[in-house]
Amino acid sequence: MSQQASMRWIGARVPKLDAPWKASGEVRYLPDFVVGGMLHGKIRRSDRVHARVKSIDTSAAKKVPGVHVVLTAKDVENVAFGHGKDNTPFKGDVVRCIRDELAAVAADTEEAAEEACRLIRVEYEDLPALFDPRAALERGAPVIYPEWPDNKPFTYRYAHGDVKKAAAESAHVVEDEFDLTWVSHCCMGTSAIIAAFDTGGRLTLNSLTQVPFLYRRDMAAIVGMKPEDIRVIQPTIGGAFGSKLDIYPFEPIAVHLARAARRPVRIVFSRQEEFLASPTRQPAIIKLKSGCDARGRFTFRDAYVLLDNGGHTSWGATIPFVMMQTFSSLYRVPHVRFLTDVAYTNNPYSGSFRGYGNLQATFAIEQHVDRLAEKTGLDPLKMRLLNAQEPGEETGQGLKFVSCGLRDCLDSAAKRSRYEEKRAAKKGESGRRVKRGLGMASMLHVGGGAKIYRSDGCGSVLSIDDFGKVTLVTGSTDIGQGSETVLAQIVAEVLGVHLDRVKVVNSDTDVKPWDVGVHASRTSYVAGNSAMMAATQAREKLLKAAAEQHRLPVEELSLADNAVMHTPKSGVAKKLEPIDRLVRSLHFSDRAELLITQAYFEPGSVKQDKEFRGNVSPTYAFGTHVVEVEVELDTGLVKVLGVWAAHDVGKVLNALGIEGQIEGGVVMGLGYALTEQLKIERGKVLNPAFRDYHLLTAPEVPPIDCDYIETEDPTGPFGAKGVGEAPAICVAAAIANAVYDATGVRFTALPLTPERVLDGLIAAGVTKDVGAR
Amino acid sequence: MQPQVEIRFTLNHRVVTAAVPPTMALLELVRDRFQLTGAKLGCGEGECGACALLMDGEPVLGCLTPAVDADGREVLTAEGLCGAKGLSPLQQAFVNEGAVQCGYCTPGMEIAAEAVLLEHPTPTVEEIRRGLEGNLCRCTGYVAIVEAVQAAAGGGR
Amino acid sequence: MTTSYLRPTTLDEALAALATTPTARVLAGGTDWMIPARAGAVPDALINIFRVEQLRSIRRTGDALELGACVTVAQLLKSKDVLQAAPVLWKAADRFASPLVRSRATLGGNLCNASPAADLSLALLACDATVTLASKGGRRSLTVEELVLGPRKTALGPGELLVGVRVPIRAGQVSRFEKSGPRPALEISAAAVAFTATVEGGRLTGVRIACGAVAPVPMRAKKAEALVEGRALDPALIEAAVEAAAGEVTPIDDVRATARYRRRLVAAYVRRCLEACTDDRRLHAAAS
Repeated sequence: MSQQASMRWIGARVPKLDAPWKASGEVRYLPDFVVGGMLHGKIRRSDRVHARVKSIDTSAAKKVPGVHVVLTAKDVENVAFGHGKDNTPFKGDVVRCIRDELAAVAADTEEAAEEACRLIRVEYEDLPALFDPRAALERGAPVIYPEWPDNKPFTYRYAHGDVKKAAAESAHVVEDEFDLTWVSHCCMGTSAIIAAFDTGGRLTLNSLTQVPFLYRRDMAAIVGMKPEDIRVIQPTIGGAFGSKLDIYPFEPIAVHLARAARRPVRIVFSRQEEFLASPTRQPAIIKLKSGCDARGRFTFRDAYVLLDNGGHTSWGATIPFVMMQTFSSLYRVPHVRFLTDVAYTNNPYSGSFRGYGNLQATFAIEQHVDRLAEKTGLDPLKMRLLNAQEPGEETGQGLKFVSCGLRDCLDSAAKRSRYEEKRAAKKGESGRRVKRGLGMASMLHVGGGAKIYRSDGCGSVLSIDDFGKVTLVTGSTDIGQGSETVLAQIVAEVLGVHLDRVKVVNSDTDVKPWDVGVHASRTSYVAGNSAMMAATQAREKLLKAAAEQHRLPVEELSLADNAVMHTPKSGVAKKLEPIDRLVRSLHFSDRAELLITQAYFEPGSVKQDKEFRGNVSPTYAFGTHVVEVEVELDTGLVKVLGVWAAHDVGKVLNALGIEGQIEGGVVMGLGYALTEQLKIERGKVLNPAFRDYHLLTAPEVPPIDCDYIETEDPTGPFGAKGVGEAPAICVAAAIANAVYDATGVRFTALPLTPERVLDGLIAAGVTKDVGAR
Repeated sequence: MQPQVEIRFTLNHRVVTAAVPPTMALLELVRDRFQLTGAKLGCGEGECGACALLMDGEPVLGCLTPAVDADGREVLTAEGLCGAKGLSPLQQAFVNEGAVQCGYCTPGMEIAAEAVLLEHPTPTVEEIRRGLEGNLCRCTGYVAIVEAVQAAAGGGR
Repeated sequence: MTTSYLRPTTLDEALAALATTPTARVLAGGTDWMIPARAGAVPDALINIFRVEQLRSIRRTGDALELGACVTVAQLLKSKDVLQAAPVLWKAADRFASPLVRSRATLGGNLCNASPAADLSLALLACDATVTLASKGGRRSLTVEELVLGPRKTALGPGELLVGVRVPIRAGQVSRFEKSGPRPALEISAAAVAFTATVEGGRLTGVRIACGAVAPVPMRAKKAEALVEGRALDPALIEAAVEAAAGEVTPIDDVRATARYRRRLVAAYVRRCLEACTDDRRLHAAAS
C-alpha cells in the first residue's frame, strides 16, 4: 500500500469509537446486567495448599433458603483441561493450591450462595507441600502429581552456536541470578461469566475471553458438548492484559451450575477472589551468564530458567517460547544456550500477562548489558548500538527482521533524555541523602502474532448497505485497547468513507469468522491486514462498477468523501457519485448484487520446529526506554523523574490510541519495577487487596515522553506492527540500571520497594544502619 | 430484622425516595434499586474509586457511604453528569483525550475529576493528580486522564 | 441484627440516645464501619451522629484550635486555621487515604477507631491535643495517650461520646510530618513520624516526637525527646536521638513491612525532623 501523505484516518488522533458510550456511564459490563431467571454462582475453594480431600459435606449448604444446586466433583463429569491437562473444574481427591475449587453453589442471591459456601464442610488430610521450585526438583521431594514423579512437567532447550567455547574465549563474563515474583493483572473489572442454556440445549456464554474460538472448542470438551452448540458473546470487558487467554475452572463451573439448575447462572469474582484465584504473571528464577569480547561485542549468553508452575498448569508454563526470543535475538549474539525447567509446587499458578515472560527475560538481559559495558569500559548506549540488530537480519533462532528500528530507538531515547550528558554530570546533581541516576534498556517482541497454533489468522466479512453504511464483521476481539477503532480507521481509509459510516462487529461467535484471539500484539497487524483485504476488494468492486456505469477508465477513479471521485488525466478530481447511490444501483437493478466481501489473512510466519527455530512472527517490535530516578538513601524510596521511550511501531495507525497503549504499558512496567507484588508465603496469598498490593496512582506517574519510530514494515497494514505489549517490557530493567547508576548497588529481584532498596544500600555500605554505630 | 429507614434525596436531578437498611451502601442503592450501573463495585474497600459518587458536590465512595446518609442530599452519578445534549464537557474531554480505554474506572474517575473542577475551576496539574489519587486505572497510566481534566478546565465547563 | 437506628441532629439528642442504649455503635462518616457492616457485622443499635452540626465546627480561639468530632478530613484540609495553627495536622490530613475517603472520614472516627497507623491521631499526639468526652452525666478531658489504649481499644466509657478535640496553639512552634511512601496518599503507613518543637536561640524546647505504626498505639519517642529537650542540636546529638527513637519503638512484622524496616524508617524520619530544625526552610510554617 502506498504511503500517501494525504491519508485522512490513518495516523489521526481518533477517539475510541466506544468511548462516548463508556464516558456516559451507560455501557454495561457483566456485573451490570441481569438475564431473566438468573441465579448467582459462588465457589467454595480450598483452605489447604496440598491435601487429600476426605469428604465434602454439602447437606447444610443445600438447606440454605434460596439455594438451587450445590455441586462437587462427584456431581459432574470432571474433565481435565489446560495446557498440562492437569486442571479440572472441581477438585475431588486432592487439592494442590489455595485457589482449588471444591464445590459451587447457585442461589437466588449472592448472599445465599455465599452463606451456603460457608456451610460446606470439608475434611482434609494434609500432604507434604512444596513452595520453592528448587526444592521441588530435589531428589526425594514430595510428589505433587504421581504422573510426574520428578515434579517437572515441562522443559525447554534451545541453543545456537557453542556457548562453552565462546565463554572460554570471552574477554569479559558476568553471571547473576535474577528472581522475579508474582504480580497480578488487576483488571478493574473482575473475572465474570454468565452461562445460559436455551430449551434446545444450546449454550450461550457471556464471557470475557480473549480467545473466543479456542475457548468454545475447549469449553465444549470440558462440559461434554459440541463446539457448534456453544455461542460465545463477548460483552464490554473491564481489562484483560492476557488474563483471559485461558479457560479457568470458574467458567465450566458456571456451565455445570446452569445445566444442573436449569437456569442461567452468573459468577462474578469479588476483588479478594480476583487476587486469590485469577492467574498471575509467571514468577521466574533466571541464572544468566553473559560475555563479550574486548571491544564489547557480545559473544555468548547462557541462561537457565526455573519456573514455579504452581499446583496446575496454565499459560505461564509456556513463557519460555517468548523468553528465548529475547535471549537469542534482541542483540546479535553468536552463541546462545537457553534451558528452562518448569516445576510443580503448591503455590498459585500463573497465566499469560502482557509481555508473556519478556519482562522477566529483559530484566536479566538488559542488566547484563550494562554490567558488560562497565567491564569493557563502554558507555551502555554505545554497547547497545554496537550489538543492535538491523533490518534484514535473520537471527540464530530464525527470526527474520524485515524492518527493525532498534538503532533509531536507542538514538532517540538517548537524545531526548540527554542520556550521555546527564550520566556525565549526574554526580554533581546528587545530594547527600538523595542520589540521581539514569538507566536504559531495550526490548524485542513479536509484532504480528506468534504462530503457536496451527493458524494465526483472522477472517473478515465486509458489507456496504443501501445507505452507504459499512459493516466490518471481524474475527478479532477488542479488550479495551481500541482495536475496533483501528480496524474502522483502516476500512474508512481504504473505502474513502467517513469513520462514522463504519461499524465494527466483533463480539459474537455465531456471527464472526475465525480468529485465534487477542494476544502476541497481533490484532492491529493480523486483523488489520484482514480488514484491509476485505475493504480493498470492496473498493475494487465499487470502482469497477462505477467505471462500467459511467464508461470511464477505472484508473481515473478513486474513493473519497463517501463518494467515487473522477480525476481526468489532466484535470482536478471531482465527485462522480456517492457510494450509497452506487451501492443501491447495484442492488436495485438487473445486476441484483449486494456489496459484500470477505477475506482471510494468514500471516507469513511459521510454527517453530522442535528446536524452537523458525520465524514465529511476520514482524517484530523494538523499543528503548531511558528512565531517570532519584533514590532516597535513608528510606530506600525510588522516585521516577522521567521516562523517555522510543518504539518501532512500524506506522502509527491511531495517534491517540498508541499514546494510550504506550503510557498504560509504561506505567504497568513501573508498577512491576517498583511497587507491585502478590505476596505469597507457604502457598497463601498475604495481600489479596488493593490496599496492600500497591498499584501506582496518578500522582506517582512521571512525565512519559514517547517517540514513534516509523519503519513502515512492508507486510503490515499501512506499514504497522503490533505494540500492545511492547511498552511494559523493558521498564523494570531500565529502572534497575538507573538505580545502579544512582547508588552503585545492583538489584536482581523485584519489586524495588523502599524496603528492598534500603536493605541493599545498607548491605553495600552506602547507607549506615541504625544501631550500627 | 434490620429497620428500613425512609429516605428522600435527589438522584441525578430527580427527587426519589427509598426505604433502606442502615447497613446498605449507597452504591447498592443506586445500582440495584435505580439501575444506575455506571458506578462500579471495584473492591468494596474504598481502595479503587470505581464507585465514586458526588454527594452535595463532594466526592464520596459509594461502597463505604451508608445509603441512609443520602437523605436530603443531592447525589450525582456519571450518568447524571450528562446533560440534555449528551456528554458533559468533562466527559467529552475524556473521550477526546483518550482517557477511556476499557472504561471500567471511567465513571468513578469522571466523578473524582468533576470534584476537582468544582473545587479548583482552573486546577494545576498537581491538583488534578492529587484529586484523582483515590481512583485506580490499569489501562491508561493516568496521563490521558489528567490531560482530559486539564482540557475540560481550559475549555470552560 | 440491628434493632434500632437513630439519627440525632443535636448533641443532646445524641447523648440521650447513647445513655439509653450504651452498647450502641456510634457511626460518623462510616468509612471504617461499612466494610464489616456489609460483611454482616451488624450491631444491636446504631446512632448516626454525622448530621450533628455542633460536632462539625472548626473554631480558633486565642490559644487553641477547637475541632468538632465530626469534622471531616476534607474540612481540615480546607481550613486556613488548621493550616496555620496546626500544620502538622494539616499535613497528616493531606496524606490521609484519598479525597473520596477524606470527604467522609472524621477526626473523631480516626481517633476512636484506634488504629496503630492512624495518621490524624499521630499528628494530634504531636500537637499535645486533648479530647473531650461527653456523656449525659458530664464531660471529661483526656490526652490522646489516655484515650487510645490499644489497637481498636479506647478509654471511652459506656454512654460516652468523643465530641471534640482541642489543639493548643504555641507561638514559635515548628513541626514536620513524615510518612512512608511511595504513594502520596492511599497508603497505610508502614511508619510515620509527627514532630513538633519550639526553637529558641538555637535550642529546642517542648519537643514531641510521635511515631505511628511502630507500636500498638501511636507513641511518643520519649527518650529521644529527652535527649534533645533544651539543647542545641549538633550532628552527634541528632544521631543519638535517632538511635534512641529507633530503639524505643516496638514495631512488628506484617504484610506491609518488617519490624526492621519500620525501625529504619523511624530513624530516617526523626533524623529528617531534627536536621530540619537547623534549617527553617525545611519546616512547616511556624504557628502564630
